Amino acid sequence: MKALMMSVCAAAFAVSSLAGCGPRDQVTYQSQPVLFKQGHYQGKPDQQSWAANFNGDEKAWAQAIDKRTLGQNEYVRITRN
Amino acid sequence: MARMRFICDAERCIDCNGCVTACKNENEVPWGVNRRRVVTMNEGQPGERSISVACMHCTDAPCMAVCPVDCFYQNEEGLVLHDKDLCIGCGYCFYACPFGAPQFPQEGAFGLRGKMDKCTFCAGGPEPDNSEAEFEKYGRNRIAEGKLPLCAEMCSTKALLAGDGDVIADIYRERVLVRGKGSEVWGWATAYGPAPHPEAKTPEHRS
Repeated sequence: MKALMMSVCAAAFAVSSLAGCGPRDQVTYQSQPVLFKQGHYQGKPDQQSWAANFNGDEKAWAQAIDKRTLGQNEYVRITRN
Repeated sequence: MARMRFICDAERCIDCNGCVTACKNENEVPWGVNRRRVVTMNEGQPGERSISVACMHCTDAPCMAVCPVDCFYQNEEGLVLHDKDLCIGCGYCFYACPFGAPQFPQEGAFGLRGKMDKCTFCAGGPEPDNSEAEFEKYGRNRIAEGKLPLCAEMCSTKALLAGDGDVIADIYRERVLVRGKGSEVWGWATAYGPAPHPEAKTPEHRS
């Protein structure tokens, strides 16, 4: 009985020791492992451009960008003035 | 949704390097890294032309295709951005990029390659917008502020245009029409030589 207990303990020790040798996740995001899948973005998600400064108002953001984009055309600027 | 693009009008660029300086200052780019540069062709000869080059934010970006750790992503505006926390500085993207856009700061005593740095179209990266972490890693996020990249906004001759691809293409087309020349400087004929069958591209033949 004693020998059986000792062999069971030895086996349990060996299994728990070997478990520490497995591969560990190298990249984590918000303490969750990032699962690598070839060909797919593995990093952190980005915010939408209008989220932070325009309170999620995509239309207002697009208007601001359009105004500046069209402002690069000096022919339009000349006729406006 | 806008597809953000750059166009550089070679007829207007005067090689002043204002765009390069604006980029370096706005994003506090480290020494030895140039996200944007001005390339001059036929320097000192009649017909000399200069263009400002940076990441062109390709639709089908080769840097994304070759990255072994998949640290690149395209945001909703079509901008090619990357996560520096994943980048291993292998340099594959540098070899894949036809514009030489990816840059690698030297780190350590033996000049080891650091994490890749490139033009972000002043759109930052995946860190929270306008955060200190985003500024330190990627530079300023002007797009989130409703502004265009500073290189284009600072351009004194408005040679460098930035914004929605369709809109800036219209601006460039109008310029070419007004000056009566210039389409030959930039476009199909420059990239691929004269069309073998030019008559096949005329409107009469299309309909």
